[in-house]
Amino acid sequence: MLFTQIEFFILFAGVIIFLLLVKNHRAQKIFLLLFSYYFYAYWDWRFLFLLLGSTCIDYTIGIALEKSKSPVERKFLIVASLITNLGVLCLFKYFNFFIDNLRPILESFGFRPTNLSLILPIGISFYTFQSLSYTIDVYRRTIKPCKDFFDLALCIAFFPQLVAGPIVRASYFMPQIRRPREMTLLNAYYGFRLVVYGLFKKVFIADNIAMFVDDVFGKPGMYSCTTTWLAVLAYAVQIYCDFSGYSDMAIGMARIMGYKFRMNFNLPYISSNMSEFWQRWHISLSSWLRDYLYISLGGNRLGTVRTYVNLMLTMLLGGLWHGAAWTFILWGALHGAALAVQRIFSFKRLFAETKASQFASSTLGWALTFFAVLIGWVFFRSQGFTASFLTLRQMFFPSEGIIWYHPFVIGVIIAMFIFHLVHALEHEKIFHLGPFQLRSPAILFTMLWLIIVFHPKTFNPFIYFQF
Amino acid sequence: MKILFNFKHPSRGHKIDFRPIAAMWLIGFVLSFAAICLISYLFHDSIEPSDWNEQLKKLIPRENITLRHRSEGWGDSRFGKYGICGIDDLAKYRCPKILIWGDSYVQALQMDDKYKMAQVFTRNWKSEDGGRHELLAASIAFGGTNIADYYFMMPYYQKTAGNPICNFIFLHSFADVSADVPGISNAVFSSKPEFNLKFNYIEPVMWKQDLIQQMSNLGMDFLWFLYKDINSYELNFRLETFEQKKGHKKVEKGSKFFEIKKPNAKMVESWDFLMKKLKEVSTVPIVFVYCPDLPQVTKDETILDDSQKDSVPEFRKICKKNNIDLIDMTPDFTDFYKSTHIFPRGFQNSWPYGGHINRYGHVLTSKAIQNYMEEHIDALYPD
Repeated sequence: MLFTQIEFFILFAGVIIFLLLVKNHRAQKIFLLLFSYYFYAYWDWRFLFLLLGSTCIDYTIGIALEKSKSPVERKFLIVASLITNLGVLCLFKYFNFFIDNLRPILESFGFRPTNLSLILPIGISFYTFQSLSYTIDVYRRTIKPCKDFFDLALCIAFFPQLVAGPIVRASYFMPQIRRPREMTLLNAYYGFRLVVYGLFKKVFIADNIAMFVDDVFGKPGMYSCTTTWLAVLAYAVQIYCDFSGYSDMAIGMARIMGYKFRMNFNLPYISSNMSEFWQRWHISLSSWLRDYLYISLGGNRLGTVRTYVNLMLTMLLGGLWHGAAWTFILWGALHGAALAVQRIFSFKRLFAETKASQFASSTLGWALTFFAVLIGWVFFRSQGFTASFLTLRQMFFPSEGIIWYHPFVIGVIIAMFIFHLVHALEHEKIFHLGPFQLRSPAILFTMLWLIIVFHPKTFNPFIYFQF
Repeated sequence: MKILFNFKHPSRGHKIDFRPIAAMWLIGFVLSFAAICLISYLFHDSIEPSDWNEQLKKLIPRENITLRHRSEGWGDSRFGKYGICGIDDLAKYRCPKILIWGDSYVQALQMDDKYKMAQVFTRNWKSEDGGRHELLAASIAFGGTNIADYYFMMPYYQKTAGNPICNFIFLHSFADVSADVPGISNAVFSSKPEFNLKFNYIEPVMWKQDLIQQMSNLGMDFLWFLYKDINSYELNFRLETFEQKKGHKKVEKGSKFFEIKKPNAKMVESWDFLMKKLKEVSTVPIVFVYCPDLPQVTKDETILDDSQKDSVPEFRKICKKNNIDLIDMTPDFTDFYKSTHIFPRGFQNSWPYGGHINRYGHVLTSKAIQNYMEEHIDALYPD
């Protein structure tokens, strides 16, 4: 089920009414859990058993980890959790990718591997990481295991963040689940505001520019240089609005129900270096990779070379997490390389400590970071390397092509630039819609009207559903 | 005003008076409604109130309505009497006329009236003919119609025009002349038990048209589209598999979703039947104007290859058999693209190379019609 479906809004209204009428905390939690399972099963009920299975295994392992005193046994248990969760993820997501790439080698040994025709279960990348964060935290003794199965199940399957994040860790969410929440009018307002922002970004902006982006990227090399650049910029806007829009809706809905999630996107395109970009983009994933992968590999504690190796490995796996394709791995590698370069070389030292110089260095840093991110998006979006290079060629060494200056796309890009510029100059207060400001309902309702009136006629799934 | 907005912030421990908050939200809603009325007036398609035409037994666009089209192209179309774009009253003009029959391609809501093929023809004919043969072109075009519809409409519009000298029928898809194609128009062209044309009478709901008119007058056209969207939406709360969900995809009706690449004998027979029926009702010569769907753009190249090219020779034979001329626009469109690299179809705010024909396509088509008329003017023009 999608947040943008009418069915979801009807049901969500029902959920809110239930939570308001039924005060029993346990009953509320079980209701939310059942609704979350229905929400997941709506896409394909068969895969609900995967989610349930993963939850049962991690619940059992969590309990066993606490009971076990032997380090060997504890290690065995956590490895079991990793193998089970990642095994299922790899089977559905990466099996065919590995088979296709290892086929020549396997065939040379006499094997005849066949591809599996499997549907990728929606949200598997997200709930797998969420589930793993629980067992790893229990293993590290950061949190106590959850004794109540329903609490853990709700923590993993909570519908706002189930299929496309944010990846909410058990250490953060579990205490909120355990205690009775408060549904206040202020929370309802802030939640509603976030949901409207999210819907506006997803439906009005991302979905309306999707057709333009899809066609230009689908026919790489056929469009003119400026049109291709426009499409790359538009994709940067689309993926940001699509993904952050979903996160906003998820966080907003949770807020309405009295749960607080941390923000998942913090204007990543104003970043002046790559580290800052990853502190602002998909924050829940980047922090997960940092805490459970980069630090587990040793982080920056094992010398310079090992630091760069760990950084690169983390980003490569981060790229692979997004999809089973070499373009995603290359995207991760590009970001890893950019992070490494940033560590080695800081051109801030080239600039004097004057205000003007600092401004110049920030602007240069922003330009280089944004440029690197755009190049990365070309690989991220394109259907393979050939398409990526055709697109890049058309960007930098253009030949004649079709001219397409979609007015809405141009308008959106200009508006996004102004929006980010205002934030970068720290004048974001002009966009603030407080609960007691006269303009807030007018603007929020206008955004809702724009969503309803100008929604695209064709269906566009959330981009991150494919991950 | 002071009482209305004298609310206290809850964090300071005061009790909230909800009346001003409710008033604030109500005012906000009203302001937002005004804002969306203005925004949609500028950027959204407007609705088309219709009137019942007793002779045609169908709804036609209401007189003196200006339709704004923004979703593809950017056009304002003013409807005159008889549902015709760009001509206030067809019967008023005494000069000989040519009638250009078509669907949405000829109605061309995507552009202003002055760029449509009929208006371009009239203007260019006047300036190039030097007034020797006064001629007016009128588009008899309604979205969703096919050639079978013109069989039922021709007697009425020929009589209204008074003195047409030629009927040009714009054709972009051979499905429009074939039997048994699921359609959305009034005419039903069936091959069972034998070829026949039937008029599907649809009872008008006039209160709806009046409501549409009122909404249009108040600038609330968008609400009508919203109503249609909600009306056509099918709620589905069932738990299904992924494949079952994919299987619910709606089957679109209308000839544009029904492609004919290579005609079979039955199809060719249906063309012959339809042409004979058209000749029964047409008081003047008929000329088909075939507009190919090219250039096409694939992943790797721009193709100057019409997907329906295999149908053209057969269609030409049937035309000749029935004494109907055929103007094949394929060379014009091909040469135009080759020399200018401009697409005769498409718009910047939809697809740059596909969809309805654009200004360039209309100029090419009107030029082709003009060339035909110059060649045959002596035979066609009344003494």
